[in-house]
Amino acid sequence: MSDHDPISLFLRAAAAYPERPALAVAGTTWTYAELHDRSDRLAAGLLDAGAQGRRVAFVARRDGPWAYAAVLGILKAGGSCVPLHPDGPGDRWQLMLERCEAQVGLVQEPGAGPEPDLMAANGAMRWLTGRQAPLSAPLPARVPRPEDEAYVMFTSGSTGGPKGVGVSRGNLAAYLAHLPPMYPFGPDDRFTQLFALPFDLSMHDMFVCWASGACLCVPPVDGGLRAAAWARDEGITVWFSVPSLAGVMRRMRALSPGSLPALRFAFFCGEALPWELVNDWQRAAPHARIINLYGPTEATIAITAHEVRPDAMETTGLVPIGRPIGTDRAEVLPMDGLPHGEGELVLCGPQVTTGYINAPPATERAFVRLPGRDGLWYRTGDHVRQGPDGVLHYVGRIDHQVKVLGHRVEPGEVDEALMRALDGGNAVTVAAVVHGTARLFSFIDVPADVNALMERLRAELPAPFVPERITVLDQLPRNANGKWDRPRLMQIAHEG
Amino acid sequence: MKDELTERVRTLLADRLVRIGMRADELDEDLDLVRSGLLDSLAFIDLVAALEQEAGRQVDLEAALEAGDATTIRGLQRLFHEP
Repeated sequence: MSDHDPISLFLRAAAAYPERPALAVAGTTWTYAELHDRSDRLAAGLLDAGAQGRRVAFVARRDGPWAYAAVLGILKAGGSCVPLHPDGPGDRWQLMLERCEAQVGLVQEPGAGPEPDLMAANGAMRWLTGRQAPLSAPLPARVPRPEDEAYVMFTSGSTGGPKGVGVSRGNLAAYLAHLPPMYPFGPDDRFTQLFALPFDLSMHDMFVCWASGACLCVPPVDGGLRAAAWARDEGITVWFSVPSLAGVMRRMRALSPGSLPALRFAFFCGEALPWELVNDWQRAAPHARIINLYGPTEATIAITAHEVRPDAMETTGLVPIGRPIGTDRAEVLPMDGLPHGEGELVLCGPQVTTGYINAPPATERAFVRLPGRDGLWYRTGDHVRQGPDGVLHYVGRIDHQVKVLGHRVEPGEVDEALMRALDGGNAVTVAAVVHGTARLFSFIDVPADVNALMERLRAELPAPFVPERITVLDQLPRNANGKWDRPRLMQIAHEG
Repeated sequence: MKDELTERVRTLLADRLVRIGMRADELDEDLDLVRSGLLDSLAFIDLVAALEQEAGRQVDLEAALEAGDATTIRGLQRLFHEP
């Protein structure tokens, strides 16, 4: 087994620190020995159910300890985790299960949630409960191959709905071989777990923490507004969130100087990180090293990093995304009309996955061969600029993708859902920044019951994809090239 | 006085209520605006910021959240009407 396989790292910590806390959630603390034992029991049940080498779906409620044992148990059994967001919607779950052909489902307790509907709808899947079966024999040690799949995370697709990214044990091991050794984490650290489990940054939370023998601390799900107080109460030393959450804390005036004195590290990822926010954060957490991580799901968690130097802080603009953290290559593909050193960021190396599950056209568009270079390169769609020192700076998107509270949203996916509901007519969705936050606004060109449309979107799409407003226009504006005039629509959205 | 704030919140949230299929007059004073999924944390802060601007003063939201039901209309009334 690779030295940096997530389970090898967990087992090493469990052997070294059996009585240390591994997980603190909802008033419960599990030691490494307890988490190890409980995940072994789940793994034994999963092995009996034939989960090895199969995708195992489960509704991942991050505010209880069970989901964490499930992730470990599935990986121990050699399965692949397919975490489903507890908020659904159910139609989306259904689509994801079909798309990745998950064959096994894991539920915490029979009848304890919306899973029965899923079970009924997926007759071909085997569902088993996570009840703690007694271990009859020690779990057989199994050695995963690097190409074995570790998890599936779904990202927004501009056409055809969500795309499943399959990340292998080898991809994850490549990340874990490089990131944790860069920072002196230890068993006294207390890590945040602020990401929903179907968001791949949760894998960083779990396995960087457990690789260090530290304790993973999970706030209540609606704890976003109390994040600063929670971090103080929990004695958090390692923070990891989207910049939006830090923005919430600043707007709540919860980032007063010295208000987060115990923080040793603060990692941000998932969105562009403004210098302005970093300045406030550094004053609130004077002892924290601040690191900006960057990376798409397709290249496993994060692929570049930039550590903020307190003597080189800027006041405006965005923090650079830095340089590759491991052995992956990051290059800038020149684009028409852009100066030298600017273009689309492309990635190649052991963290880059092999493509989207059961979606060859999408895979062929995004995973490409480059003339004169070996390997398969992932086109990020991110417009970057590389400085003379090699440091990468994020500029924007080359397409219409937006981030809503850290979630990747292809406005085209919202348009598709609207047009299915409209049965004729066009829909165009744009993002407009309101009070510093990106929000979606949809425009349609046929009369429709807007309330009914909203209801339909809520049933089909996750919350961040549901627009603030749907506006009916006689005609959608086009630019001189005959394309939708998005800047004009953004202006209309702004004017309310 | 208190009704005024309730009406104001209902007006400010009218657009958003559509997102969860609710009418303004159904917005109960004890509904948790965040837990119900009506507002995410940023939208809730936008609401408080708008109320602060209209009231011409800042409130201690962090302390109110610590104390309990600040994310309901009743909690907002307490926050804005008690000195």
